[in-house]
Amino acid sequence: MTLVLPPTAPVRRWPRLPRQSGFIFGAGVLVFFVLCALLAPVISPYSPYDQSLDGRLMRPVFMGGEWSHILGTDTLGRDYLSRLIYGTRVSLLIGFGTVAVSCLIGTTLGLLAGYYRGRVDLVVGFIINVRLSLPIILVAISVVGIVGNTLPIIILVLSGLLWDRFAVVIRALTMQIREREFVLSARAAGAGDLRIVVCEILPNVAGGLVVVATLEIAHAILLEAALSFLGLGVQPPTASWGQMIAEAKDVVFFESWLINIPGLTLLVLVLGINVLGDALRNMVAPSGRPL
Amino acid sequence: MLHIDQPEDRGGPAQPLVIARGLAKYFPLKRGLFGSGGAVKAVDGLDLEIKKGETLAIVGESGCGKSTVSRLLMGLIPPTAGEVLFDGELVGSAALPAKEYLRQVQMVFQDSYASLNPRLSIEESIAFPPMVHGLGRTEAVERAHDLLDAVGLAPGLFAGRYPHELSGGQRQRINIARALALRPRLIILDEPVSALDKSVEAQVLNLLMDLKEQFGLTYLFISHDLNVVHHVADRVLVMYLGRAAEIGPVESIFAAPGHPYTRGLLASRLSMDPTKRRKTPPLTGDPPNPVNPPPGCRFNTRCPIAEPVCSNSQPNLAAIGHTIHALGHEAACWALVPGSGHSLATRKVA
Repeated sequence: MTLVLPPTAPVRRWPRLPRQSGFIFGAGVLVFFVLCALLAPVISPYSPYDQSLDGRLMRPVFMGGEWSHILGTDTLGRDYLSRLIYGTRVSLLIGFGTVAVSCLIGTTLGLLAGYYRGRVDLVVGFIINVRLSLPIILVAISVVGIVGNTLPIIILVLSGLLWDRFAVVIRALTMQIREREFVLSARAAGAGDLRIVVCEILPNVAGGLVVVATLEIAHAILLEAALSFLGLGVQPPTASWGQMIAEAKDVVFFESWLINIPGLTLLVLVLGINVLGDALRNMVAPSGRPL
Repeated sequence: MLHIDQPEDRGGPAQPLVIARGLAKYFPLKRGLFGSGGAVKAVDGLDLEIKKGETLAIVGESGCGKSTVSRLLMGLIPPTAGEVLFDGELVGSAALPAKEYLRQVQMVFQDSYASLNPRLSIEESIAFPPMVHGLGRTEAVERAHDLLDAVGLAPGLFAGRYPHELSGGQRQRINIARALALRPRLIILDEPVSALDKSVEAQVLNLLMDLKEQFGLTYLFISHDLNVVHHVADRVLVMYLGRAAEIGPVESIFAAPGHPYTRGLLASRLSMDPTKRRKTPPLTGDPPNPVNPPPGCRFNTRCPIAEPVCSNSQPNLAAIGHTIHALGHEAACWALVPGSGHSLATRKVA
């Protein structure tokens, strides 16, 4: 039997990807901030640490300020735009770093629980419940207060508190997929548990992983801002958005733009990442396949 | 350099490829916090022989244990009782470790889509089993291309595609190619064509027949479609509620069924002649609950010729054929056992 078929077009895995406006917005915002973080030394007009006591609390241009400091200067006379740009680095580093580590923890636990079920599932379920019963801010404050607040420690502490959603989602997806017949046939081919989990199950839960990861990045960024606001984030004078909000709170009734600018920036980034996560989830769901 | 080829035949042609003795699988039921709630007796004491080079079909209605038998033979679930011998060697013994056995037995499932990993391309899916057994990537992919050719799909067109881009028939061919990738001796076909269109079904069945010759295979063919079974099988095993009701050569079973359940099954096929269609169903009711099967013959609750003896004790398979064509035709029915006390049975020759 010979089949005459036209040559196949290159495989498009997510054909509806570009048509989602939410996806374009979210991805655009994320790319913009990533570029800001990477190119911070190039695009910042000043060093974020240079103080100028003559030029304190200069207003941004849209409030009648000068073009030499587009977003004005803070209470120590540091250029606000430069600090904002450098602050992107901290936020994204915390966001991606935390999600990388917590994804590792949560996915491992979720895969174990979903694949082996039974007692392993009971143990993992218990660990998840323990984690869910811990108030995130409270634990983060106490740990950072005791151990110190360097960037790696903050990332580790937040990772230790944000893996639960990964574990829950991956566990559920794994339970679904392990019953599918391609897993049975891999076992029939003689594949061991590790190979089945890595080659058969993991690629099929990766879509869910991406969705959770985007949402958790936003979560981690917000938490870092909250910690910095409480004085337990990264150490001054390192620029961080939460830190900038905290420093501006003394003059909030006189120069409210000092709080509004980093606050709005934070809002746009978190909104963009959340919209991106939502768009990814919508793209994943209608095909009816767990991705 | 590693070669994965079909292993040598050891026992000779007279040695059955598979002998299963007293195979049983109970699925325990959980009820409440304490105490067990009994067990579903999915397979309950099944003896089975698969001869080299034959196609043995297992037929029966839903829930009779067909698929459980296939998974037991595949080693996918551990049996509650019983043992399996493969070419004379006990599976799991030192002479035939489980992994080596798994290589010689492969399986094709009913759902062609669910049995392919949607994230792997066709050639990766087929190359997967040999790579699990240590074949290098290049050789495995090369073998995948050869196998695609063997199942009638041009490697140049299909190797790089993904399962969702293929039709059901094409996907089932991929599954067959993957089952062949380890050069097995036995392939368990679990309803391989039930989900396909009639025209595609015929193509796939013919392909299976060709491959059997080409690769020297033995098939265990599980199906509920009696016409398909009649077409492909050499011998038929009729299962009812976890036990064998009847076994024998396909022609003998279809021409002269011994067990009343087999007669009912065969009568349930639709006739091609509208004037010969029956108005009353040959079998009524559902099979009894496998948690608590009826005493005696398991079919006695639905059997048209049940008598008191049938609910007293359980009949075993016994030879019923007397002609050369019916050699090996056995049925488990008291009405066929001389001197059993059943009114249709011949009196025992004193």
